[in-house]
Amino acid sequence: MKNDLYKAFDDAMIRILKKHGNAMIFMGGFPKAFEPANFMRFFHDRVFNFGLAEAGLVASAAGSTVRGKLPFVLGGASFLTGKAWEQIKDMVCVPNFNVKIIGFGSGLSAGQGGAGMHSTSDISLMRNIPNMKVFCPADYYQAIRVFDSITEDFGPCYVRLFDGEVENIFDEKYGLKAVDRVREGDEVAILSHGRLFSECLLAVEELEREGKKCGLYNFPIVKPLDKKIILEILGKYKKVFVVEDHGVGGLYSAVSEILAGMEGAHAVLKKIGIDEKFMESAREEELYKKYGLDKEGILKEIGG
Amino acid sequence: MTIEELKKKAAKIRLECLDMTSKAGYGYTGSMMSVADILVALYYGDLGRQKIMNFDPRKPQWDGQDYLVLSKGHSVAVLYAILADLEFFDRRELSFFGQVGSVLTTRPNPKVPGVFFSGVSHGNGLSFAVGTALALKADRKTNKVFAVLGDGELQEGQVWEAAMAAGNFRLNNLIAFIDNNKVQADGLVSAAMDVYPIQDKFEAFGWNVIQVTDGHNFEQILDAAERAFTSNRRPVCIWCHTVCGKGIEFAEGKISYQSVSLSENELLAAGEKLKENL
Repeated sequence: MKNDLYKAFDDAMIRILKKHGNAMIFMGGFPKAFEPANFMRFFHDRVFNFGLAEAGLVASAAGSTVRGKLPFVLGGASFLTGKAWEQIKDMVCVPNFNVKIIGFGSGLSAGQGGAGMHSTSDISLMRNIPNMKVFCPADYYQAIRVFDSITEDFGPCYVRLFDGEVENIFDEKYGLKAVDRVREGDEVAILSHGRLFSECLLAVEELEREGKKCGLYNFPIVKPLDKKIILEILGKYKKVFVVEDHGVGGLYSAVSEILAGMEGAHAVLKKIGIDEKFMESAREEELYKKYGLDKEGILKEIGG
Repeated sequence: MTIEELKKKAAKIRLECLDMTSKAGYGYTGSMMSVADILVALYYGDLGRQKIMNFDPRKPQWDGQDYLVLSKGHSVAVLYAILADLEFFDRRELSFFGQVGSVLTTRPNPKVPGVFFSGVSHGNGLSFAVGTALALKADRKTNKVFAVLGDGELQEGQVWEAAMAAGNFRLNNLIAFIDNNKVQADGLVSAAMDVYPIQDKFEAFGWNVIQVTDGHNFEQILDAAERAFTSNRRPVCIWCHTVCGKGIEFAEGKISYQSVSLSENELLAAGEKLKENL
């Protein structure tokens, strides 16, 4: 069954707003303009729409924490993390306020919107701020658990949500972990998160049909990374690929930082992602295809 | 407090923050002096039985308190001096202002009892105050939120995002003071980027504006606050004309004193005059 992450946000928020009287939503728009979320209908006294004003939106959410509020800030990933980066750093992370930043339309979701709307630097922008945690859910159920987890956990965080429906990978019994060991392999492993994880899974399944065992690990939490598991993976495999719809500073960079200090034999680390370039304005699937970010592209790169 | 007592308190606070910033070798003398009377009026002023701002130094998290956001955070030494005087924390801490390991950072630090706002960059404070005011509305509380902004700060686009939001949400629990001292770090505000007309701008965003022609006159400031408290369904902007460096004869109105602390000799000279008002 297919589902999208915005429905996960809506479903989770209905429960969270009901359970936590201090939860509020500061909105800079909702991705489905013609299909208003349920939380907007049922909790309108705790949902405030700031329109197109990301900087003020984040700063106001920070201001609500003075009264013990638990604000969720919802806005476009590229605008929140770009335009309001200073507010996220100075007003949320420096004082360590309990503000949850939820960015929609991550990666190449904006497709034909073009380079200005593509969000391929957001992980990097958020990852380099002290106190900030970064979550990149890959399907509906994982997103639900991420929202539950950040509600219980105190402190700033960024959740990266992509557009469009993907096949459910996990189920309702899923429990959030730093790393999901989806497949153990022999010589090659793939590390991924978010939108491209389902493409990686398709690629690994294809290899399995050919009798090849490829490791596959999902990272719903990109920061903080579980260093022990990364070291274990880098020590176990000959080749490790990081697959992500992100440019410099994402999971690949984070794993590289650990690899750089690693002693002894370790894997060769490669990236299947976005180089330092701006993508053209085209449909998401076409961009994935052109830049080798779909199942076929991944298989080609890892030598399947 | 009577007007005379407020004047004495303002002289004491001026002395204290000049001393702190001079010792630290870091401070914004002109800006601190222009906002000092506004902050003293907020913390010590009353309208007969009603205090301007409700707070309890023994309970910095008290649910019934009002909130102050010093958006022109570079003047924070004035706020710290007031909070120490009110015994939010030990006065001896003031001598560590801007030093390694001190909680008294040179921009507002919410780790300091009585400070709620983390003010690093200009233009953020009014948005922050909007968020606090909205949270109070969501709780159906009548506590007030005061924001104090500089005039140069009005050049920041985010101030107008916040002004629009406050007007849109009809935040009549929000009162913003503008410390219009006409000077910013690199010269005259009007030379850098003109911010006038202040009144028309705020009114266009749905605010009531009250003009205080002398932002160092306590009667005028208290009168403006009283009128602000009766505002109906609108946020209020109290636009105060002030003088950069007010209270230090040789620094008044001088751009060169806007963003520096006083030398030891200057501190002595300023101190002699201020002590006459104690």
